[in-house]
Amino acid sequence: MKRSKEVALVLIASASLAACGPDTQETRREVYSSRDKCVEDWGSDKCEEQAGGGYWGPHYYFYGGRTYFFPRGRDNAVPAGKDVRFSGVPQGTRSPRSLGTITSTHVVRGGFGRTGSYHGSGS
Amino acid sequence: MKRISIDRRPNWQEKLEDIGFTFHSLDGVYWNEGICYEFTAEEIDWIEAVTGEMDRLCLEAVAYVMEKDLLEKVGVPWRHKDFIRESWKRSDRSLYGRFDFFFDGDELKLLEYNADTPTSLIESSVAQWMWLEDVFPRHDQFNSIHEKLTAAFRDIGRSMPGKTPFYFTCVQDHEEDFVNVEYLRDVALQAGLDARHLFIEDIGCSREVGRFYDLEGGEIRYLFKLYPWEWMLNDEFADSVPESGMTLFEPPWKMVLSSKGILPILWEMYPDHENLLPSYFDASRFRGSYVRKPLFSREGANIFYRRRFGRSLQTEGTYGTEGSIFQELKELPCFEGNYAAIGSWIISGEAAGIGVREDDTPITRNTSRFVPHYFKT
Repeated sequence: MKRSKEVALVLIASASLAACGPDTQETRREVYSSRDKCVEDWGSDKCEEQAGGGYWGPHYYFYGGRTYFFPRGRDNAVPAGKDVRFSGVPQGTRSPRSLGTITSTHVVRGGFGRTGSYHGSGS
Repeated sequence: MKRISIDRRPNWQEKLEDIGFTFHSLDGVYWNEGICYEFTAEEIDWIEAVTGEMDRLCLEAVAYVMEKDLLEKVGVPWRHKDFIRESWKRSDRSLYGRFDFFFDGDELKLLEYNADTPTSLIESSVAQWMWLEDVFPRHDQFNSIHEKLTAAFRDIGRSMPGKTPFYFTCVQDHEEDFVNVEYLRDVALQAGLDARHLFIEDIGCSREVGRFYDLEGGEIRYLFKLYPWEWMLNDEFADSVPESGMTLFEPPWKMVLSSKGILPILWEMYPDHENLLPSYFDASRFRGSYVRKPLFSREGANIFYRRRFGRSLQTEGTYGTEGSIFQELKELPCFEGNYAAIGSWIISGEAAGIGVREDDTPITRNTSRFVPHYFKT
């Protein structure tokens, strides 16, 4: 079919949509001194050795009172079940096995956009 | 295909601005209100069929590039080859693209494929549709862009975990890019996505965590970027992209198709195809006229027309150091001094509609005028 049936727009005609508040999902990772401690919290296939020493657990965030984590890099987040011991760690406290938490507050900006600073990006 | 002069609609500027198309008079005339193109139904069927055929050939060409390890040949930096290759292996979903065609009623030839960051979207989708309803309500238009985009975003939404935001990004201080991205965000909102805008300069990166963030600290898992892959992979954050886990539109493998290097590869794979032009990585294959196109030039920048007879042409720009390809010169059909090219949209693998751009020169540029069309059924 070649013909359009409708071309309604909502955003441009209704600025109120932009006022919806964002549901931020700050992502974190736990840092461990040993693989065993990390595995105890997350399971055997979810811990990553760091070049500078120590182990990192998977990326996770809290949402709606639950812990969600990313089993592997590209997978979607899944709720941490009872088999994941870290799911019992309340938001705002730290796992007794973890050395610390890395959060997305260590964020730098401006690393995109420089190559195209003299152009529009369209073609 | 005919070029027709018609009366301008009263208040046409207001009508365009009401849908967010604010740059209608950029550089004097961008939306050419008093002109249109008429096609026959047979011509439209032909363009639709060839658009689908070109999409099929291009996907086969990407597979060929991967198999023969030609990524560097088409301009992919060696250190990002695995990233591009993995994206293709995963079959990362593509949203859209636009083929630019030579068409004169007798021949239909692919000039190039804007596979990564095609623009002129709101004018093709909404503006010319509203024009048709005002001016030729009894005629038809090859245009189901809006519906196909909506369906594509609905489909993408079904594959996303609930409540995950989908970000739309472009560079700051560029009105046309912003309007294109806001139009897409509008469609995504209608499709039920939590669609949010974020300028690309505002994207945050945590190297410790290896993820990207919005201004409130929310992680970016889904990102539509109106920002070319070859720029993104040249920026400071480039090395964090592959491990970030972000799902990106267009996907990384589309960088292969957005390179003009795909044109000689298509010609090598399908020599003498009736809808392709002879193209090579080497100018010596031509004895007469040819066009030189940088691998990643955009909007007609740094194009060189070498005419065997007559004056050669060259446009300005900052591209070309990345290498070039050479294509047989096929000068656009000229209607009363206006050279017209067809932009044909492909959305989720289906031909979705066309827009016509015309220029005073044979090279279509960012200032080339957009002209609406209709066809008689």
